[in-house]
Amino acid sequence: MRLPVSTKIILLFTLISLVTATVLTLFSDYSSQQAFLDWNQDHLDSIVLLKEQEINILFEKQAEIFQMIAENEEMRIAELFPYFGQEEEEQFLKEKTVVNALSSYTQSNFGFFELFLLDVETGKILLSTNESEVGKYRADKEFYRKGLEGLFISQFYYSFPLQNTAISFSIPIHDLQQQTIGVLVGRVDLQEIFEVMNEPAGLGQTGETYLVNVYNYLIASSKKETGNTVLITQPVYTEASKSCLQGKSGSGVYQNFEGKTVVGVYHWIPERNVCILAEMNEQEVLATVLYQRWMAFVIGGSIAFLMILLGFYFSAKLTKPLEILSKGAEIIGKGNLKHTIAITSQDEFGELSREFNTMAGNLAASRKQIEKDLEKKQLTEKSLRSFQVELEDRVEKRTEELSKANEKLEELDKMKDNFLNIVTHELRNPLVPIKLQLELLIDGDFGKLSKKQLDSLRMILRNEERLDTLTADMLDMTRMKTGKFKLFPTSVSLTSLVKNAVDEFTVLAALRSITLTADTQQLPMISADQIRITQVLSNLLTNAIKFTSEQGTIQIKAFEEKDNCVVQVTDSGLGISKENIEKLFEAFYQIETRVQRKTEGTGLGLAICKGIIEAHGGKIWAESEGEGKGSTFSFTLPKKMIIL
Amino acid sequence: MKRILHVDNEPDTLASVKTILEKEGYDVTSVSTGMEAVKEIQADGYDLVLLDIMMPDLSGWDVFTRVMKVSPKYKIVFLSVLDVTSERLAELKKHGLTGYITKPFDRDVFVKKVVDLVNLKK
Repeated sequence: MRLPVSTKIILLFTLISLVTATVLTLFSDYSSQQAFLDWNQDHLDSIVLLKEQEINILFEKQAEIFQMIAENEEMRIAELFPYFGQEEEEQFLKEKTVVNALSSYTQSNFGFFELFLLDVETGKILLSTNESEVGKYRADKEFYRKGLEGLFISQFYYSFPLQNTAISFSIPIHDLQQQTIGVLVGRVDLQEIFEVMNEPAGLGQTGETYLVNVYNYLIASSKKETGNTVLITQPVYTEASKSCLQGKSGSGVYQNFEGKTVVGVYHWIPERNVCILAEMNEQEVLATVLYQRWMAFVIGGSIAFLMILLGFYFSAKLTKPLEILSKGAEIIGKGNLKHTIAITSQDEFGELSREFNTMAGNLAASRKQIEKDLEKKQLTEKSLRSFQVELEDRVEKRTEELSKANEKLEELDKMKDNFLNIVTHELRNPLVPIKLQLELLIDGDFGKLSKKQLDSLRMILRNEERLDTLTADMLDMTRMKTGKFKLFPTSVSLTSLVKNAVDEFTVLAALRSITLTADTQQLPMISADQIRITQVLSNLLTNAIKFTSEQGTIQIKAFEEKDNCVVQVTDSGLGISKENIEKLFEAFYQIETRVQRKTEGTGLGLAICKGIIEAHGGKIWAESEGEGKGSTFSFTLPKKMIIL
Repeated sequence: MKRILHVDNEPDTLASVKTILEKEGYDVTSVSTGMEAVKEIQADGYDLVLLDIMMPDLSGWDVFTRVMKVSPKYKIVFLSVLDVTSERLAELKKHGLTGYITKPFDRDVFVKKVVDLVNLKK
């Protein structure tokens, strides 16, 4: 990323401070929240235990009082009278005494608001502090049945006359013979329990402790609004209450019966068959945590802010010399080598700027040197350039001369071509009328001639024909040398060509008493120029006849050898010396024969044969054992011709 | 009598050919330039034209192509010292050439060829 150093430093400081602050805040937040929740639950737990204990103490105290009442003198008086048939007045008095005694208990601060005595057999209310109740039967009540057996404390229940939660105590009354003669029942209002429950100490603003009975009803609450009267009409179905009513104790964060999220502790009181709960609004609990969180945020933020400020400060302090250096470098870079960088501090920046200035000085010096060198180089280049120009001139002149020479050569070449034209055309043209006129004369068109005249004319004609052959051969020769020699190949039977040639020359050979024999295999068809191959065969046979004396033999063979067809012409003639064999196929070469014979030829024949055979991709050569021992001329033609 | 036009810039050749062909019973007209040949051909009808190729003013090729353009039925035979290949000859015949005789030639061979070509129907 292309960013200035200052920005990088600031970003780095910002990053470090933000990360640190965030980590610290989150860590302290999490740990404090956990710790606080734990502490809070412990706190609620202790409140619950305390209240439970108080409630139990209250009940024990109440039970003691109740037992004391039951064992009282008056009760024993009361025992007697339904069974001993005293006088009505006396009975009334006794009853009065008992009722008065009971009333004195209800009126005094013993916690009982109603006390009454049940008949042991029928459960009928015999005596009561509430006179309107006397005569009613309570045999169906739990406090009657359980009360016959011993001290019984009822569940919390709702008392309609009281319009409040109440508890009944019941206990059997015995006579002096320890016979059960009745059941004493005392109803207790829960004022003291309410007081215990109402005690809000340690519960904060939203804290609440309350009791829930086995029927899932709220019994007593510390809340003013639930008060001491509403109660028992409020159903409680919460996770905590359900769990608690199964006899369990515990704690947790859950929704209470008002739908608020609370931190709560619950405890089952087995003796009373109630559940005691203490709850605090989660928000209140967490308010402290939130406060701590806020504090951590403020402190972290402040630290981060300070760090960023420091970042700005340091980046400014660090990058200022860098800026000066960079500007200086830019100025020097633009060519002003006299520029100096004014950082005098005794640190690395000062050192760097001093070295920078030294470097600029060195640069200036070396630039001067370079400029000098450049001047020298330019001078050298100038002289080099002039030398080059001179050279180019020379080359141009030479080229001109050469092209002139070339033109001359071309002219000469043209002249040669013209010359050949003259040789072929101009030389051959006069031969036409010469030949025709000679023939007219010999044919007797212009009158009958003597034998000597005819011989003379025939000699002229023969030499005219030599000239004709010579011009034709020269034409072929020049074509071969200039590469204008062309073949016109067709599919050819070499066997037929040889046979035709032999047929043609048989008469000529016979005239000289030479035996001409042919030994030809059936050769495959090959691609070749028929006219030219015939020309070669004629040439070889002509030569053979020419250089073979009378009674001699000429044999012609044609056979296959590997990829080639071979034709051999062997004669019993003069033979050829070794030195001559090599020159045999050169143009215009003719063997000086010992015996000067009437040899006719241009000296081009074998050279042309060589050209023709080689143009077919074949070879031609001569062999001889020596002079007087005959000679063999051979040529090959490839079965698959490659035109060169 | 069959009429033959012979064009050649060599007077001796013209004279020799005329002698030989007249002995065979032909009416031979000899001209020595290409222009004359063209004029002659335009003016008169010939049974055969023997045409030299290499001539100073108008070459045999030129004469041949001009004549073939106007009257392709004309029988023209080249007489030349230049060799001709069978391929080239076939091509020329496609363009209307009747024959080709290489100079120099034997009298008998020449006469036989001329007789054949004069009687040839084109």
